[in-house]
Amino acid sequence: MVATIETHSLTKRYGPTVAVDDLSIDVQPGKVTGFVGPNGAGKTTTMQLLLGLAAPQSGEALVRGRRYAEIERPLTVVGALLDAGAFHPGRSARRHLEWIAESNGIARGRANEVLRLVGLSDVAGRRAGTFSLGMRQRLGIAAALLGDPPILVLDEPTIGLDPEGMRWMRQTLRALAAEGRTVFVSSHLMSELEDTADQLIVLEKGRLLADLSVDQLIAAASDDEIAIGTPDVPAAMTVLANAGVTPISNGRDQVTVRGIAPLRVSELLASSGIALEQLVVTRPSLEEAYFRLTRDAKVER
Amino acid sequence: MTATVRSELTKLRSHRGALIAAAAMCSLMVGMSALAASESHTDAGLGGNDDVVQIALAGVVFAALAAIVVGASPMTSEYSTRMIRTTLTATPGRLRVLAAKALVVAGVSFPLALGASVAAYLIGQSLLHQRGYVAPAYPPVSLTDPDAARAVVGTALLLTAYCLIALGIGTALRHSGASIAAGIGLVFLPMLMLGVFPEHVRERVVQATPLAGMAVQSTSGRMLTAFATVDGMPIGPWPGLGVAYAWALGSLAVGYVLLRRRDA
Repeated sequence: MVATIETHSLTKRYGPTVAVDDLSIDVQPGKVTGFVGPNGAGKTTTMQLLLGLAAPQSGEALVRGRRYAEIERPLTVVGALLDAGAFHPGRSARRHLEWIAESNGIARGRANEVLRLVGLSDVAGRRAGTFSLGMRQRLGIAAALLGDPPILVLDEPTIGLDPEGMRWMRQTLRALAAEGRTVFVSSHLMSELEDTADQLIVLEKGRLLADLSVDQLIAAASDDEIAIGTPDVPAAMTVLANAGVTPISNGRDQVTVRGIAPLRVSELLASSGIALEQLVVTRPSLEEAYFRLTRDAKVER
Repeated sequence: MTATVRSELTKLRSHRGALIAAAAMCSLMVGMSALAASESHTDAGLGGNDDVVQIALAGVVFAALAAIVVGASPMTSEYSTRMIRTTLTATPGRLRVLAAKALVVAGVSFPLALGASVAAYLIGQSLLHQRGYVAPAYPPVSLTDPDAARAVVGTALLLTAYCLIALGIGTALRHSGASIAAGIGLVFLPMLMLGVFPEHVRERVVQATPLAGMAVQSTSGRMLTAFATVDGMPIGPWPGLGVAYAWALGSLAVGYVLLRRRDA
């Protein structure tokens, strides 16, 4: 698949601080790609470089093979939410969207459409400065959607949202990706991307730490833990030990084991005639997997 | 470019601060000119060489204060609200953004300033007439008199130049307070300097600073500013206005270079 967003050896320094360090990534369409890392990892800077708001010292950031600044009517290609507060507080939500639409030759009527899409129709005439944080994020999403762009770049869109808003944002991002769009979304909280992201690009101190699918991350960071309930614990222990893994018994009716596929476990027990009462696969949370990954990376260095 | 101009026009129309400043510019132009006219007097029938055209437009000095806010705030408010990032994401071309802002600022402030300048002139002439400025020493000067027309239109053009100077400063400094202070300094310091410096320095000050634009109001061979009268014309009316526009261009050029070089 063709990458819609790519960076090549992108480097940005602010004085002695390296915000983005030789970063090469590519982001694919049709997926939600999470851009993760602790605060100060360089996520926002990368997005600013991508949108031409800041200039890199070296390397380049491309959207569909071109620099952002070279795109005519860029909002019809990339919709961005970098700072939900970046509007004039005295201007109404509708007026704010109208000037943005006009700047890219988008019909003014589109403002009302996107306001409806994000559920702000009722407050369209209100001064945006009176909006709650959640409403500001929705207004930011509305602005990003104005040009019906195939690519979305969103910086911390869930920050400050209540659970309802969070759920809305997740569904919206999933729906946008399902339409085939590229959804590139940053977060400093891995848990917020748990049910949203397909792909993860993990950044630490401006460097690329990992670029992998959510499934890969969980698999790489930790094997699934399998809990086996059986009336014949000693027999199960023997069979599993012979298969080359290290089973642990809880002393009663349960054996836990790692590093083996669940199907293989049930096959082994069945072929030895051991009754299987229960088989529970426990996956580590995304956050747990992420912590293991970053910890391992630190050990390696 | 048309799209960018249209978008900047929508912004300005919904920017309360700039609209209030524009209203203040017009009010100060009319009000302070009327005050100057009503404070002037001459003994009817006796001769004199007061510049009745210039007196009726004397409010320009105060209108200039508001013009600086009109020019600076469309840019500085974008920085204080961080909206500049939205603007530059929508229109990545820095030159296009600044040019559109300049066009809109000039396109909106010139007609307003012209209206205020015409009103100030008509009110001023009527007040001066009541204060003893009558024929034969002071025959009525119609708005269509070439010198009067040049002074009235020139005053509107001068206020527009101040707006553009301030837009350039606002782009360079990015901060409302600092930009307004710098703009006011640029316009008023030369006037204050007139009282302090010897003659040959004064002449240079009038020729080389935005103050030169005041020459466009003169119909009597003397320049009048709020704080001083300059004997003679160190610079002609149109060249003087030209100097003010050179400052506007220079200020916008510096603003553009910085806008292009700096991260938003």
